[in-house]
Amino acid sequence: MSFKESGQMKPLLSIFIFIMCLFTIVFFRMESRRLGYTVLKMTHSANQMKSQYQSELVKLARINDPQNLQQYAMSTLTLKKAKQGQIIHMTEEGFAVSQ
Amino acid sequence: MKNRILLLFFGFIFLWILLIARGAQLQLFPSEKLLSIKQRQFNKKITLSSKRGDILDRNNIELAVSINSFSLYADPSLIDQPKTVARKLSKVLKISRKPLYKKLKQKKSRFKWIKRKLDQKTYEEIKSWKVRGLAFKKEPKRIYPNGRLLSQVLGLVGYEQQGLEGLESRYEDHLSGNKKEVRVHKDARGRPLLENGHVFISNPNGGDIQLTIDRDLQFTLQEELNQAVHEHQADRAYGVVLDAQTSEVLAIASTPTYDNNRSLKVPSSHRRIHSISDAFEPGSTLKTLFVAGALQSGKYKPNTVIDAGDGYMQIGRRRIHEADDHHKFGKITVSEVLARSSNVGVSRMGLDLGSKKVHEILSSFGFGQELGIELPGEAKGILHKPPYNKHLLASISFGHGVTATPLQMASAYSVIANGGLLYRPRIVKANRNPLTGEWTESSPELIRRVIDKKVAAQMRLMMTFVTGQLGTGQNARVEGFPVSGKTGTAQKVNPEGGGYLDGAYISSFAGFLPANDPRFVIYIAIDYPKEEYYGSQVAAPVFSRVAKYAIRKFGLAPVLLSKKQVIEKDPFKKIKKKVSGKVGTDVEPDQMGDLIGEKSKIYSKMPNLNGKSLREVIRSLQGYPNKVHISGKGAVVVDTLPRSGKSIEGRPITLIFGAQPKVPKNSQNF
Repeated sequence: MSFKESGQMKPLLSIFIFIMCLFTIVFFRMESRRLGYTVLKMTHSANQMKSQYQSELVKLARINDPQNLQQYAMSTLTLKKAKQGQIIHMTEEGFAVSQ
Repeated sequence: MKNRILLLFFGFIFLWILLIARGAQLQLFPSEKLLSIKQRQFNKKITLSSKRGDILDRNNIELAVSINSFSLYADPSLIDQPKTVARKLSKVLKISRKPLYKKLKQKKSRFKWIKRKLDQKTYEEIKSWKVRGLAFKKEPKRIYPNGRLLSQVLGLVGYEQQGLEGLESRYEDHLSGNKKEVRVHKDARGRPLLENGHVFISNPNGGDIQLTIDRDLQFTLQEELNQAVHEHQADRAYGVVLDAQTSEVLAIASTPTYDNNRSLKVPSSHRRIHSISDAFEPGSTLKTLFVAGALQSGKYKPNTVIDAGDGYMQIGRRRIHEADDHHKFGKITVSEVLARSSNVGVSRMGLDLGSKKVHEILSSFGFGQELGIELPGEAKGILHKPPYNKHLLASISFGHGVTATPLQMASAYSVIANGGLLYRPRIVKANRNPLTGEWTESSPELIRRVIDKKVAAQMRLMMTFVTGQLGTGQNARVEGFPVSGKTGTAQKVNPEGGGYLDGAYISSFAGFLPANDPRFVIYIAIDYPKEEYYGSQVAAPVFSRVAKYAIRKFGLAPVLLSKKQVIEKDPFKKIKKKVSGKVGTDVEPDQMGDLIGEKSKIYSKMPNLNGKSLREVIRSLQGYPNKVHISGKGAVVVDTLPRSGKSIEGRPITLIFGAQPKVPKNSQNF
């Protein structure tokens, strides 16, 4: 292509670049909107998970309620309360030994 | 033709100019009306609610937590078949059909609450019907997973999650998060749009608080108090367990207890924290503090002799009696006055010290004033200002004519337990900053020194006599631990008029253990027990049971070991027996070398411990010099390190516990 011909292409090129810029802007705006929706969805899921975690935590705490455990141990496992003579005293290091 | 074209051209140009001018006007000079329309169309108001902070025990076990729940409401104008919907809802929600139908048939109404704070299951079921006109609102719900545990102290929250009583109310500002309203841009479907990189502005939750309470000890205390009330048909029972060194509240309870998840239905009189708000005459448990003050004054020593006479003392027209008519102690020492709980003995001391000194002693222990625990409704108790008449002075000396709350009594005993310092009792150990997530721990706050270390040590020793052979508190003994304490049996004041109720008593026991190095201060009081009423019969056994649990829970090693409890430390003893059994002679000192060889032969290899319980393991490992580590959870040993038969010389033994392979048919103990 001669210099003259390339000079004739310049306006076309400018228009092309201008249009491309517009497209790029639109593309980025669309992308940011799309990402916004993704973030929104993930925030919802995270909140839902947090909420679920919290209710599971409550369930666990309810199961571990001493009253509940005692009832289970005595009714289902037919265990009895410990008596004094049956208790093994332990120290941090191990079993209780005479000093 | 050309003119027409030009006219049309300029016409269009004019129209365009008009359009642009209008556009410019709207942009440059916007009207308020149009702005508000724009706001409505493109903006959305979102309410960001925050979760109320949790309340945890000292081991971070949840005592009060918030979860999301769903509240059901209806728009009656949109409901087509109110009768059918009411019938379906009444089945699921367990509400009568009539009031539901009444709400749903009001076609003019646009909003009616049906039921608030549904559980997840009910919410999902109703949601699955997809009924037009029924909708849900997400609301937080306060849950107390342990139900009856610590109910009065935790308090309650209202429908709007506002703290109404107890810690929920006292720490309202810290626990409750703030509701925040934000405006965000929305799309055509009403979804909020990403703006400056943010979709949602997160709202910080309320802060958590950690208590000094130990959940398991609290449960035991409540259980024991309930059992005592049931056993003695008492009106009420109180219990406080404090850390002896810092006055941290490890457990605090009073009966009756109630399920905190239904606390709005409980009468308000039950919801009070009785252990800090009920003040009553403590009776003989006050003698300890009085004697401590008397020793501190320097006027008395533990072996000072006091004439307790023939069981009574005449003051004007009135007589001060010993608790039992047959008690005639004669001349006894101050230590014996305490051990035998002599009313006459302490009365003589009180009269000798005078009103001002007695008042000074009791107020220095914290009577007649709020201790400042972080709970609402704390009572001061009654401590009259001096001068007292002689009878009142004598009465105050043995715990009548003065009132104190269970917390005040426990706190005063902690003074003796910790060496003479009065600390402010505290129940909140730490609080978490919701923004940084950091815990800020509060430290024990010293109020004043009440008695010297030496006096406190003397008192601790004197108080062990109470649980000794001649003492009144033998039922408070705890095997393996020396216990310092004092029984109390106070007549109950008649609330309707003066004087005392006939045959009505408040039986109590206050004490701490181990006496040589106190860890727990425990105060137990049983209000109006029927039949038996002495503190030694009613309250002391409860003290003992609570104390036994506390020492097990906190892993205290026994101080006083009976032969039965001790694992033989000297391995030679066993071998000596074995060898002498074989040859029929005792082992001579020069045979020691052989014994060591024998010993190393027996104890150098790992025995087979698999399937054995902890009790059996202890028996099997008697005499082994190795350190023993325990890991895992379960009833029996499932594995050992080193394995059975391997050399264990100089190596620690690790026992791994696990579940028992088979559930035994016979009942077992835990």
